[in-house]
Amino acid sequence: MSAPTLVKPAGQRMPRWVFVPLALFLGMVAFLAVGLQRNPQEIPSPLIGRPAPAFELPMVGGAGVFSAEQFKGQLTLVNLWATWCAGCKEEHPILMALSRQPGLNMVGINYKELQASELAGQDPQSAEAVQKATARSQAWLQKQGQAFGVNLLDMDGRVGMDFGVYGLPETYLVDREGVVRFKHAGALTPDVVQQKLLPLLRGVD
Amino acid sequence: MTDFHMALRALVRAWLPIGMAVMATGVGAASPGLPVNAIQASPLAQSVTGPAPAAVPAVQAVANVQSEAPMTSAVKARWDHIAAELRCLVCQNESLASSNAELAVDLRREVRGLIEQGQSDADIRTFLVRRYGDFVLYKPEVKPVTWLLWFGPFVLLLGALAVALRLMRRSPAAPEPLTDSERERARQLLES
Amino acid sequence: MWPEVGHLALIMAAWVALAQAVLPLWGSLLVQRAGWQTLARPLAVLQLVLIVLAFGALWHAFYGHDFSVKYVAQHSNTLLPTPYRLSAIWAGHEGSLLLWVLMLSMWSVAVAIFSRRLPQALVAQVLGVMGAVSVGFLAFILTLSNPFARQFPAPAEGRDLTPLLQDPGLVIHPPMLYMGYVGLSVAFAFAMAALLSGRLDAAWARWARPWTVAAWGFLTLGIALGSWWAYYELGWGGWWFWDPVENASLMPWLVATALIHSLMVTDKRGQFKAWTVLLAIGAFSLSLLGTFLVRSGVLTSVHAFATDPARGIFILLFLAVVVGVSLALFAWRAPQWANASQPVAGSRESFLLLNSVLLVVAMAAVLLGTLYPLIIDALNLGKLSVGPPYFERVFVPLMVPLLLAMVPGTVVPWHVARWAAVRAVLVPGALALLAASAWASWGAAPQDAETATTAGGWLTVMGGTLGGWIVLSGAWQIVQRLRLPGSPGLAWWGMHGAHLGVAVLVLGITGVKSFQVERDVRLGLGDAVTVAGVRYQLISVDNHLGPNYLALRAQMQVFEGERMVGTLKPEKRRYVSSAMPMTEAAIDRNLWRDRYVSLGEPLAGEPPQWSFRVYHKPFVSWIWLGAVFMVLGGGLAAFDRRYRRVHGQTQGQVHGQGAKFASPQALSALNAGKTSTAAVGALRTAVTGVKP
Repeated sequence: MSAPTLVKPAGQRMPRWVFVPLALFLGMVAFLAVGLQRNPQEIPSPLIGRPAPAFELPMVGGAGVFSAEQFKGQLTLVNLWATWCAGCKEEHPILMALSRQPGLNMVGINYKELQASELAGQDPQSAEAVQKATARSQAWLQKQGQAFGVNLLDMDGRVGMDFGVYGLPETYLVDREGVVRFKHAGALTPDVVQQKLLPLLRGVD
Repeated sequence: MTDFHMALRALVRAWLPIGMAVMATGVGAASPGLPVNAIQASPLAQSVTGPAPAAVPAVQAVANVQSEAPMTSAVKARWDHIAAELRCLVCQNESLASSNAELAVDLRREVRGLIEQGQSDADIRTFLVRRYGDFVLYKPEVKPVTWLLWFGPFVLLLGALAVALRLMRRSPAAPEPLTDSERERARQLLES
Repeated sequence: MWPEVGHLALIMAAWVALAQAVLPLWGSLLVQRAGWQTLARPLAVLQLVLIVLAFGALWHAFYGHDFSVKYVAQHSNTLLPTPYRLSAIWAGHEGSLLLWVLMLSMWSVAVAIFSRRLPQALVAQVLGVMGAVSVGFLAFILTLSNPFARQFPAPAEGRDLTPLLQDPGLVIHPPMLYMGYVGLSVAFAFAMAALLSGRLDAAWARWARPWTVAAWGFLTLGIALGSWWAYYELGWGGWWFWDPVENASLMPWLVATALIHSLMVTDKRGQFKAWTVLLAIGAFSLSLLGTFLVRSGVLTSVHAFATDPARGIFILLFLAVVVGVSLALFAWRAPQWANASQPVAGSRESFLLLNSVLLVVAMAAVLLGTLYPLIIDALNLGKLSVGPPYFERVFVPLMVPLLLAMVPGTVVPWHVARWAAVRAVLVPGALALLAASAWASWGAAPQDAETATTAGGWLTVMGGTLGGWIVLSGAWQIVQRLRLPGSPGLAWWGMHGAHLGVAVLVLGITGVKSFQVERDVRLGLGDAVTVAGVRYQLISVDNHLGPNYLALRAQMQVFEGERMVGTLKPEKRRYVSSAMPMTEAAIDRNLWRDRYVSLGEPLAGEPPQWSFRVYHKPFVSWIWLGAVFMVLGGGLAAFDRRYRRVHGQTQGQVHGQGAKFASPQALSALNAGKTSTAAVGALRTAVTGVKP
């Protein structure tokens, strides 16, 4: 058997190209390490910094119509929710607490209260469907707490789509010029409120 | 087959009608999701007196019903072309065309409406990107942030080909003269 | 009790693997202890026994419905049919890792058995490296992914295997795929042995070749099975989606293909040494990367296992260490191997170099596309998606030159360019072009009332020419060769088989993409639709009970003209414990086309109607047939006597064989001091054993 061969061959030049594979690999590992801390399913909103989408929706209980124009002049928290959404129930106490913030308008949009399977082909804008959704919406808020100054019905989900909703609940902060400043997908948690929402509220004021 | 296996088989078979009953309950409730707990809390754990025939429910009653007219072939052609490029936002990597999620159904309806209104592919893409961002496009737009993506492979190919061509020769190299040790070894081999 | 036995067996296996890693490597590299080197084989066998015991214990828990084992409760229930109860073992993260280490220990034992005549030090090093990889995986299983974790109180019923996975395809696809992934660790271990010992020669390449080809064959089979399964199981007729996990299997396959060709050059010509080693490291690294991507949650995929950040960190660290160390060793050793290769343009070596370049660039493109969303997100530049439209636009153009080079590459000789050989094979090329043009013009399915059937375009001509050229020139080469005396070895037949497989695959893809017809229709009872000249009539729709599902089943009769040629029964199933309805497409297959019908949703209104999707997919079976040919070709090549003969020789004997290239004339020339090119070449061959 020849002598142990782990001794480095003497007098070898090390051309730089031999390090290229290693360098590329370590670069990729660095990206993967950062990627581990990100959530690939989370979609940032393209609305941030742009005006909230124009819309007009009937208020629950038939008290009239709310349009996006009415965002101007006040600070609004828009929350998209539904009675069939478990996360909405979980976050509602936080919304109740936020509703007590002075100067913050709370607008709830009840998104697709009657889902496709329940509608079974019926027109979502029909009087019957709207009535059913209204009753459910009001009953739920009665039980969970009236967090919303204004509660709107988005029966066919078009307005939600304009906002870029992809899962409930979702919360948006709209400033006095009607520009969207913040979006949170998923239930609000105390951490998110403390670290992201409240500083924004203070900043905007 | 041992008694153990036969008993196991009999036990498995006995669960079948119970399973049908569970299905009937779950299917009839028409809930969006059958919670796992329902299975664990089911009467499966209790003993079975005998297979009880359960009424087989009509599955049609609870499936998602569609009531829209079918697409014309012109619309369908455009639809096929663009739907493959659009992503279902709530799925684990599926296109808008093949997903069953409710948001996907809504978006399909919306895109179909836009096609029927005569909007171009670019308009439809803009419509969706304005609401959902670049994430919704499976074919990334060619802009500075994606130049590396679109042009990188071809630049790499050209570079690699250039290196490979430089390594090549036109004609076979003349072999170097034999070293003394090689000469000696050759002599040994030839004379053996 | 048995789960605890299994757990204990895994712990012991981890220690055995550690010994298998440390002792033989120490005993062959740092000191010279033959005793430690010989330990490699028995330790590998012991490791296999222990892991089989653990696997058996998990099997037993599934078979016996032991829901106190958390993993069993998550992936099966009492209604699950027996075959799926057992194959559910590898349906989840923990069990699939156990399958990984089982395969790794099986490959180690295979290497231990089929390497009787390899130098002992080399065997020790190869098994040592494989043991090191095994230690990493076993440590991962024992700390973060224990399939034997218990839960109390044990639930009375399990959760059920995802309905998508309750299919024969599930039983076979992951094991074959893992055999491929893990088999590439053998090539990696050979590469590491070369890097650690500094010894890399033609004999090394010849020993590594059959192992690499075998792993490549399994990987090809695994990928093809996955594609076929998706095609008939998912109900929308697609067979490749460029999903991150699919890409994670394609990338090692591309590099493994480059590797088997590069090994050929190192074996026969002693060239491309550094490149071959790099490819071997690359192939296995991509296997490990795939393992990371599926289990870490960094990319969204339908195939992904349930994820956990801690698991992602462990695998990333393992990947970084294994590949980082091997690439550092490469940087150290490569310069001494790098200078020899100077292939002549137009020789076979140059075509094989082109093969490597194209395959590696294709792999880089797939890697870039797969990781780009992550890279952009990590740099805080936004969130984007990269899907099939990108991959098709980038990958296909890269494959065209590769396919084009396949024919010349197999007809030109080694060492010199001979363009006459290429000219001879242009005739089959012209024939292929003619045939492809005819195909594009007349190959479309009969026109239907409402569907614009696709005519072939220039892509059809291109795909048809490339595939056809490979087939025709392959046939021509076989005919020419059979006229000569003597029979070529299995490896030669294997090459033609595999190349034929590639051609058939290309023709299948071209055919189905050019001429596929799809119709979405709504049918009531008795209604019919005509697609591609064939009439499909809906006869009945009723309910059907399966072992753990309830199905809506439609019965359609298929008519060619007035004659009924078959019945198709597409289903929509609702499984017991999942609300997601599953589509079971009905497929009428033959060599030339698939008739594919899937049942959609019932529609509101009277009379009752259902939505159907009907496909006419010509040549789609050729995709999987091509893969089968590739696998068979690889199998033939791996068993060539050349490799087995070498196993009966020592290294000295391999070199001594070169003596037969010398001649009496050479001897006299040597004596006379004359050194013509031919004489020098022949003598050098005699001395080194490598043909110039």
